[in-house]
Amino acid sequence: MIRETFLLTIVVMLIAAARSFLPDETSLVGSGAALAFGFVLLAALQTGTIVSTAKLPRLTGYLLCGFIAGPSVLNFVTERMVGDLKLVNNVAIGLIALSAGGELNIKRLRPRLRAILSIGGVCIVTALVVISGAVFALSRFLPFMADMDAYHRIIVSLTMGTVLAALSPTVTLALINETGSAGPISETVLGVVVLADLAIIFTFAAVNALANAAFAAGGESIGGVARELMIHIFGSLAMGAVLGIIIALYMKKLNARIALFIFGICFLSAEAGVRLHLDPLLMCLSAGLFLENLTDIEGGKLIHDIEAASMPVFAVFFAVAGAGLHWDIFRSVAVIAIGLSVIRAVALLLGARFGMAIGQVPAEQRRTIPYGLLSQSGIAIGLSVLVEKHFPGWGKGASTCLFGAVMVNEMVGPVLFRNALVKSGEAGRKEAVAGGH
Amino acid sequence: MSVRRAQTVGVALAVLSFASRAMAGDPETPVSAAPLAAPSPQTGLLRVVLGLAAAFILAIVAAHPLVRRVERRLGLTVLLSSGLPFLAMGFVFRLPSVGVLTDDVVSDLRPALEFGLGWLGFVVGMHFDVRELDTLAPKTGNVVVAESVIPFVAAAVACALVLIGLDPAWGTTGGPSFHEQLYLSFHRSSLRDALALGACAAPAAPVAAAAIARSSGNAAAQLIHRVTLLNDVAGVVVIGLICAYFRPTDVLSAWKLPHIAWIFVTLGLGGVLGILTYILIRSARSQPEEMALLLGAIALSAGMSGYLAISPLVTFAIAGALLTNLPHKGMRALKETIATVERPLYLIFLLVAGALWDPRAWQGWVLALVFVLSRVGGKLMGAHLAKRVGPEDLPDPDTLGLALSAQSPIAIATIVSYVTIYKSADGSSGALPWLMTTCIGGAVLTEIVVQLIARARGGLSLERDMSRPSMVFSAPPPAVGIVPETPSLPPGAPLPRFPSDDHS
Repeated sequence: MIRETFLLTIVVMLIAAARSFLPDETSLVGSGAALAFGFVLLAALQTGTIVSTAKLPRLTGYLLCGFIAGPSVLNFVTERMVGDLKLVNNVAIGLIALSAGGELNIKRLRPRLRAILSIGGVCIVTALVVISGAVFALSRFLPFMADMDAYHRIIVSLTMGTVLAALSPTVTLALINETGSAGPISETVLGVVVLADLAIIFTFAAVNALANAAFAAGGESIGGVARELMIHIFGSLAMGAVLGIIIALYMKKLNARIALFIFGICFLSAEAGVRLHLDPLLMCLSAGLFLENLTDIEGGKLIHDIEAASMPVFAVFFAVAGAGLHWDIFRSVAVIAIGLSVIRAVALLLGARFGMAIGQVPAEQRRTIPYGLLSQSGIAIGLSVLVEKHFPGWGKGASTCLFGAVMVNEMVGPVLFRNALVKSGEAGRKEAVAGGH
Repeated sequence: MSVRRAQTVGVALAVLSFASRAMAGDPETPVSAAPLAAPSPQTGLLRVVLGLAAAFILAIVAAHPLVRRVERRLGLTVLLSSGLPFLAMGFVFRLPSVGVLTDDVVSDLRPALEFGLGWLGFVVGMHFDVRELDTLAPKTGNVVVAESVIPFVAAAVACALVLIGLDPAWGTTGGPSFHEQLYLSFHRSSLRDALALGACAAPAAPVAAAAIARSSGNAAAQLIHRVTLLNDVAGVVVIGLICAYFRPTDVLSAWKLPHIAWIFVTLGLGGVLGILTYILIRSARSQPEEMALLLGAIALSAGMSGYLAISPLVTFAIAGALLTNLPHKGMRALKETIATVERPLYLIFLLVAGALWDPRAWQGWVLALVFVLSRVGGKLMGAHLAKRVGPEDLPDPDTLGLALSAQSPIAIATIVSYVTIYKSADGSSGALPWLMTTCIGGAVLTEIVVQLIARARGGLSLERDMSRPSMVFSAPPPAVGIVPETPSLPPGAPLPRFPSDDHS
């Protein structure tokens, strides 16, 4: 703890010195990105360790570090640097999705498939209904909805409900990695969040089309949106399968510098995917699923290569997410954001309870699984940005509330899930299994 | 093995992150007027993505052990064996008709460049393990000095004369007198540019040196190989002094320091970063964590160096030298890590160097010719002096001079570092674009000529023991990237011990 604090102090002093070299708003092209990357990585890792002594997840430390060093507080990492580093996230998301896909062995999950489908399905529906209902009930008090008629308020409520119903595969995978968890709870939660993620993408596209029609935002017709959605989702899945084939061929024929190659693939899918209107997360998820389930290449081998490097990936990913949190925005909507987060948590916990009952989940797992569903991060933030961009009238106000709520969920969710994993006894089991081999 | 992979992944993360940053462009950069028949933004971006991805995959392929085996067999440096396609690709990608490496992309790739330079600087610094230096034959230092200083002076003086002669200001009418013009030209940038070229003249390529010197026996080959490792530092020292005395960002900077203070800032920064890296890797609980911390330390240091307009090559060399002399039981693994990733990094680095290079200016080729002649002349003169003042194991001066003539890849790193630091300060003016041609063209020309002469003399040893395991950073060195290649040991000879392992 003392060593970490000392190192953190040195790193902070170094960046403070470097930032004092040039006037506040001046930044040398390029060097700022390298400086921010190095600082964020080192400071986040130290903060993660410091925070872990208080039995909090390391990723909470990463988030806190990014938040404090970011534009909202100390401004060591400026808004521009955050913009530069956000692209790190695309590669990281691809890598995380590939790992998540590689973890999901359908054959192994088959006994739990019913539980996963029921928990995922019921949770999403419950969250969607309860949150949308709550937003609708509060709509008279929300300035950006106050003047709308009931129909439009329903549409906006649905949109916000969909965004807030999103879960977080990245946080889930990061926590499972960090705690070294292995077992039915980890597998079920990972399966649920990945499935829910897919469902939310579908739902958001449909709701978005409705909202476009309702607010005449110049969007396409529902048929056009549906077609685009099909191309987006199935195109991404198909492209992911192609990537899976390429990775499998590479591993079989060349089998050299695999990890480097995987990084190249994630980079390509992150950057080219966006240009081709495909979802990098879905592409890499599909590639991981393909490798694990349809080839004789062990997804585990692939994951093992990537897992070892997950530490810098997660540290930078979550620190950048933390730096993107805006305190001034949160302050303006704190009450609403906390209220929405509480309602969301209640909805998800209730949904999970019903889902687990339908899925006949063993009693000892029922206390832990719901806490794995509370976190939010990248997808919810991405959808909030889309809301703001698509609907200039009310989008700004809605996205402000959404960002506030996501901020609460991002901070609180991982803490609850980590504690639940530790209490369940699954934490640390991965090392034990590996050690046993 | 998995740790090695993780390490590779870590570095790839950094490079790709910076590359992906380049994809986004600079949000604060005003959009320039669209050229005729410009591609749509999406097509353009996709082209950039695919172009860089192709380069990245090619770098992986070119780092394959097979390519390295071919290099060793032929006694070629990485530049001639697999570096040229990357330089060419960088140049082609830069062409407006291809439009992959546009001005914005090249400028945004600068962090990756700094990261790569830092990595190479680390390698240079890590050669300075005092425990290993203590094992050098007496008077080896004299050889290092002779083979560094004389080529440096010869190349710097010759290139300064040519640069002054090529100064476009000579043609202007109604200008100052001849003496004033000479003085102005010298002080404007010719002196600085000539010193930078001199810095590139000192380092020699170990792979070629070992191959040539092998004809004089193993002892000579080992000695020359060590001389080449130490030679690299001369260029780094000069570029450090240039950065201290010719500050490129004085107008912008909030720090107003005398030139001499910048030397202390450079030394201090390198020292602090070395100690920080040491404490960080000592605090690591696992090898992946060690790699993450090393990666962070290098990125932070590269960013700080870039921010302060100091060459990352210099700060990292200082940090590397410090780090290698501190006790750490994982030092050998760390060195192996650094060497493993070096080659793909160097190749990607050459790609960016190729993008900065414009070989179409004839002045660059004139300079290249002068540079090669003065440098090789300097090396030969240095060899004659070294033979007098150096250890007895040295080969005859002609063989020694020839062995040390092939240019080290560090020279290209040095000139790229120099050009990127002063490009923004100089704008589009001056001889900066020529210097790249001088250094790159000079390296290729020298290597071809040296190879031909050496083969004609029958002094190039192509017989290599490929089965022997490599030893990173010790003699003999590993088969990785620009880390020097190994002269063969006699069959059954024990491998040299790695000194720092004894101090853990």
